[in-house]
Amino acid sequence: MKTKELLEVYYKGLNQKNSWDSVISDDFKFIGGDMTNQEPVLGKQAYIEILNRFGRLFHTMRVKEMIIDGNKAFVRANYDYVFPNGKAISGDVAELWKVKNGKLDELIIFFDTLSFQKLLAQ
Amino acid sequence: MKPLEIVNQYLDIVFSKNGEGLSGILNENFNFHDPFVIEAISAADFISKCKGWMEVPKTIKMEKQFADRELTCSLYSVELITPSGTKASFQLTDYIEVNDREIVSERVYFFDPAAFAKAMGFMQDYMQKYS
Repeated sequence: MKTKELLEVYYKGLNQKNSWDSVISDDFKFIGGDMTNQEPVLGKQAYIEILNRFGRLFHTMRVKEMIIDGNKAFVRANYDYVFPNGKAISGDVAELWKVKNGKLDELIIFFDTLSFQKLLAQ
Repeated sequence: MKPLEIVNQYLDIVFSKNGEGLSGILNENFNFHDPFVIEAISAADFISKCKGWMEVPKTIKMEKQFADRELTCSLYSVELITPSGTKASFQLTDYIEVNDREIVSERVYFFDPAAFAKAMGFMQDYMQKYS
């Protein structure tokens, strides 16, 4: 599968919270779960655990923009968060992907923190 | 010129030329968005709001860059001397749209916006938005 197809499978699966991990490489590298730490979390299983936690925080998501250049891609994804206190907000995340050997191999994410400011102002 | 060449010309103006030449490369209706509630809806608005940032001595270290027609993405680190005199580095990504040799829009994302606000001396203002 090419980069676009891999991302389509991932985001469709993520939205349904099912089968998104089929396109993740075993040696997957993820940076961005902790904004104060740029060390990558390594391995598919570790990322599955992160997304299982994150999956409880958002209801639905959509891709707003996608740039694909060979094995690299930028995605602006928009998530509808629902927090344990019942507050809900929609926020963007910039997601930078790298594909290797036909799988999604690396992801760096940048949160749009303005979304959270708006939440707290509610 | 290819979109990425225009983008690099723009980044050079921002990071190496103190903003000299911005009005010549930004579309009149340039739209800018970053985490610090700096939202600009025209080139003139952006130039006015970011005057202080342009004057900060800083260097850019490009890590990744790619494009899909007129849409571009850059991942880079910015090195600067903070107001307290220490050297600091921040990772950013931006999404820039180019049209007809002009920069039409830019969205900037900081990996750790709070660390940037703290280093640049406006942490209190930044955190007030969360209180």
